[in-house]
Amino acid sequence: MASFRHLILLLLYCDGMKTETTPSPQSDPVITTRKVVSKGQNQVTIEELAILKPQTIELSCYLTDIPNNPPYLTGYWTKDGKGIVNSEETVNRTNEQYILKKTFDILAKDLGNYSCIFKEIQTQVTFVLDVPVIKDKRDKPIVSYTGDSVVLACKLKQTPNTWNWYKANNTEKGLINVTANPLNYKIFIHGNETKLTVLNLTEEDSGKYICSAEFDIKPSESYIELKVLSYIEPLKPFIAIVLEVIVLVTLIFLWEKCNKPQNDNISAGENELCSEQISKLTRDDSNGVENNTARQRKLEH
Amino acid sequence: MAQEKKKGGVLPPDGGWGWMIVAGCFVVTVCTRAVTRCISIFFVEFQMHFARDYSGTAWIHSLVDCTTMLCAPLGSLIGNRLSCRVAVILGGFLSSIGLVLSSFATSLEYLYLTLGVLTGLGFALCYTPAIAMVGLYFCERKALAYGIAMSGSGIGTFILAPVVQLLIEHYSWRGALLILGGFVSNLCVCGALIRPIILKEEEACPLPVDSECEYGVKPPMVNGVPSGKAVGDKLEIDAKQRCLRSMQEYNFLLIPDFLVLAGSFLLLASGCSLPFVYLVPYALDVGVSHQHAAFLMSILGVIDIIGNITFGWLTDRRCLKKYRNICYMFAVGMEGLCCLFIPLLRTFALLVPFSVLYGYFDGAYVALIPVVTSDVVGTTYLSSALGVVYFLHAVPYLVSPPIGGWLVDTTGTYTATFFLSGFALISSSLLLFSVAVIRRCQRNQKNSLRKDPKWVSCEDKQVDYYTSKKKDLMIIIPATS
Repeated sequence: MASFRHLILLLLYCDGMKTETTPSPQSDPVITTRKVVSKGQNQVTIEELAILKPQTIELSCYLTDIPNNPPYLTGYWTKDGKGIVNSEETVNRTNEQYILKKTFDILAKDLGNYSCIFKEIQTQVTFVLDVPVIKDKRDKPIVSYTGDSVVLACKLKQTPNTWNWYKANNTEKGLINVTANPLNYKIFIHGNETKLTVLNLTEEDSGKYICSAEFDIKPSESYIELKVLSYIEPLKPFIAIVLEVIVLVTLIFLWEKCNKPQNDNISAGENELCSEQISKLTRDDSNGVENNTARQRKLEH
Repeated sequence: MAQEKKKGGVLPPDGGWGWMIVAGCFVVTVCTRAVTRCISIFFVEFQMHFARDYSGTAWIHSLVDCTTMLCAPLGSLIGNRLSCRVAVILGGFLSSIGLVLSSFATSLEYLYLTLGVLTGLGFALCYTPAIAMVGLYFCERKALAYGIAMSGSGIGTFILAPVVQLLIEHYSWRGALLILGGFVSNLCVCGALIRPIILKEEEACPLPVDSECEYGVKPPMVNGVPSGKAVGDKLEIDAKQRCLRSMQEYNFLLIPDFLVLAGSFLLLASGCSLPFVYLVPYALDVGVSHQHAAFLMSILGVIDIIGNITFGWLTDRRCLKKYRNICYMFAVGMEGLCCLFIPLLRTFALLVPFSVLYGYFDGAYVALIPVVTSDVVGTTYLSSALGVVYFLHAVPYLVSPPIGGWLVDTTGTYTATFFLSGFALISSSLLLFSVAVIRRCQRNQKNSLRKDPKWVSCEDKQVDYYTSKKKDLMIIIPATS
């Protein structure tokens, strides 16, 4: 009988324990923590954090190697240079370390530079919270020609939810819809990179193209400039060079022909005399241009 | 007219219009070798546009290099049959058409054809005849003339690389290829500059052969190798004589000296391209930064130019002229020695002297290749011989970088590759050296009575060459008195 009562009590207890340990879905969201260790005083440390979705993040500043080891320090937080109200805290020394932590709820409007500043020792740690930035931007525009096609590409380290391409017209941007214009545009998305192929280029296709990596929190954008030229543009220097070549070749041939009649005027008997003179000239190792005419008499076609 | 031709040959002017020929050859080297090297700047653009990877685009460069070298004998053949001038103008025309056509490319395979084959063929038609002509116009200052002419590849790369980059930025690769095609058409101007010349030696003493050897090469039956012959005369020549002429054009292939030289060139070409390809990856591997590694290559390029010109000038000095072959062997051997030391050089500060030395001797031997070849075969066959020499360079150039790459992959370090390169270069030099020593011993045995105190075997030819000039002079003067 006693064991049966014990069993019921045990069951009830276990039931109770189960309900207590089951976490309710609304409580305790996942908190990411980021910590930075700063050694010594008069330090400025910058840490970049890529934020992909809205989250709660705990930023920690660990200070070590502070000279004189004061028993406590005061630290406060700033966002984008402006102090956050009621963020000033007194940090006690624990095991030669000073730890300052603060939890932030980050939404799209909350992205920015968060710094923990310790007044007495002029130490600052800055956390840069932003969406991943698309690097390797070309500062020169991509050039292409009418009727040709061009490939514009964007790449990131992290994989966004999706990529979108926009064309910027002055201040507004219009989404590029591949299904609406299948002949003109092709978009290729492969994880963390995307390529936009613009076909049948015309002069109006010149301008700024914006690739946008859509994240939960905010899209990350980068722009590429496209310049469409007509074929006449490179043709001008090409024709200039070809004309120069034709002129030079004509001049050289004309000059040779002008010197040639002098060859025919010399009778055959004088040939040896001329070649002797020439060999004497070459013996003297002279390379003045004025000797050209004497030598050219002997140069035959 | 025919009588005029027989007596109208001249001695190499060693100046005057010869310098215009050197300038023309310089521009030819710029337009062919430098443009070939600058094609690799286009690869990134091709990869983006045609969505292919590096190996697909790297084929273009290999095709151009391969076609240029493999078709070098064709270039010298056309130079001999028609005229060097016609060959260079035709080559300029072909290569500029190739580049212009490739600016309209729609696929990578199209580029292989226009850029790889057509342009490479055009370059091949220009390269050998232009170099051969410099040899015809110079004798006393041959090495200096060649040094200046060959420095075009280094100087051209130095100047063209940023210019091509600028063109791509302003006009994209299509426009850049079009304008490059226009630039390459300047080869036609060089062709116009190349005035044909008939040298006296062709009739009097066509081939300075080694007098000790039993064989000799008979002068061609028709009036010298017609490097400047008018096209109209060929109508009189029938097929049999033409066939005979082509056999005689390549008679120099049977000279043992040339065979030894050819063997040493094969070894040389196997070894010399590897350091250029693998220096930067090796530097990055041992921890040198990207910018420093690129700087190493720039040093190599600039010192190459200096080596070209100064070594050419040096070997033209009278005291060194007789020892030209030894200078060539020395340059090649030192290059090989430098390569052997690379595994010990593991910092940027140590690799800089390597770049300087290797660059200098690389420039040195490049300037001397045509000189050494002309010393062995004489000016008559220079064009055809150069064609064969550059043909021999083609296959090792193509084959040795992949073999070097395979060695790197299997052994995991670059040591084996550089050792291969070093040993190939040193054995090339040793081959020439040992043959020269054997010749000298044979000659000393045969002519113990004759006074031949100096190094006889290689310079003997040059002594013959110079005495033949004096003999010609003697023939001319009595005739006019």
